[in-house]
Amino acid sequence: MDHLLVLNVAMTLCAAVSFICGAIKYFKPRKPLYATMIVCGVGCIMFGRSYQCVRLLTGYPVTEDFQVGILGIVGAFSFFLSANYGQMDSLVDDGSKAFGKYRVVGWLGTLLIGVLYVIFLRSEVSAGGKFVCGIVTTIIGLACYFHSKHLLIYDVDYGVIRCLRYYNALAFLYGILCMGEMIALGYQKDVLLIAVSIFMCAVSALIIPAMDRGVQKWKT
Amino acid sequence: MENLTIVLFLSIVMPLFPVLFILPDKRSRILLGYLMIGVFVCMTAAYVNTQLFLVLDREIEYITTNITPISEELMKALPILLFAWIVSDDRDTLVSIAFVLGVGFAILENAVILTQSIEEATVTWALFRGIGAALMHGTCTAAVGLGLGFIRKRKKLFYCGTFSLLIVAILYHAIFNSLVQSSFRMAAFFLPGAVYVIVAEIAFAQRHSRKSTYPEKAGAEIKE
Repeated sequence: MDHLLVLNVAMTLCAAVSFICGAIKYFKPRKPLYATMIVCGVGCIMFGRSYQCVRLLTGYPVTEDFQVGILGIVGAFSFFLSANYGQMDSLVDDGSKAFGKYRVVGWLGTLLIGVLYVIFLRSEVSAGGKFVCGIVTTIIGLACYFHSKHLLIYDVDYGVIRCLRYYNALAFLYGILCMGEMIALGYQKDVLLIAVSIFMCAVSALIIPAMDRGVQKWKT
Repeated sequence: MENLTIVLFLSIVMPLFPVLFILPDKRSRILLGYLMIGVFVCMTAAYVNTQLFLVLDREIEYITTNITPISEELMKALPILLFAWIVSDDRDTLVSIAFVLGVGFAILENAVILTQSIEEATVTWALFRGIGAALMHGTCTAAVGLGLGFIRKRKKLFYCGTFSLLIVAILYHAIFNSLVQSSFRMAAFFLPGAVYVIVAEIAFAQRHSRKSTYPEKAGAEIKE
């Protein structure tokens, strides 16, 4: 069996387990919208990987310039971005100068994603592929701005973001791993691809429990 | 037979048109109207997809599994966006009309596919295709309708949330299209059924909860 298929099946299963656990707990009335959105994000990862599995099983490649499976990553980070930007950020950052250093930390996270994209750009992928990955990188970069900012921000008033540090760390790591996968596919480095995929399996499985742990602390 | 899609569109929509003026309440008229809009969107999508096929110059399999899910979901979302913007952003109403629009889309799509592969048409085909495609299109459009419910209430969630839900819909649509063209065709018909049951259960639980919490607001957006 093709190793790409095996890796995608493994990633689908890990994301599916995480998604189902989250859905059972948070797709209910009067549950925090923030948590529901994170669960939907992991659902996107599951759907995106499922599509790639189906495509590989039906004998078509997943390494074309554009295939819909890549939207799984875009959807996941859109949900993560939406949850942090739409729900959380205004609770801890009022735009004042006092929080300027945390905004710089956020942009450093985005810069790291940008550097990884520059490494990917040096591969022999077609211009179309680089453009599509550029769009994906933009969404990951924007989401990682909030993930890295919320990792360190001094959250004295509410304490809601401090509880979510593990989740934000994992989501930020997932962004880096997505870029790693892009680089591995671009340079056709199988060992790197396998290593990155194993970490992606672990992170996608842990992301909901980490978020759940943080959300539980809101009640205490 | 070059205008077959238009012929099918008129055959489906024309009998429904007089019913619009007979229905006594506004809610029913809106639902039937959106069913007809769904059929119209499908006809439009057929032409847009043909143009995309000519412009992109790729094999039909690539277009149907990667490009048409995007174009169709975007086109289905537009009438719902207009409704949310102009008429009402009540979430229950939006999800209902979005689902009905998706079903309308599936009706014409099934009719077109039937005429294209008439030799494969059996009662079993009609049963599975009818249920599978209708539930898939309905659920996809309803997901986008859910995000559009935030259009006036929470702008930040509206932009990001609708985009994210649109992506979920595109992915789900693309998986269905890939399966339906493969040897795993049966899975393509069971998948929408399973997803529909789960989504309907969640929607029912949430609606029930809202009605028990705010009984005065239930169904207040569109008065008869």
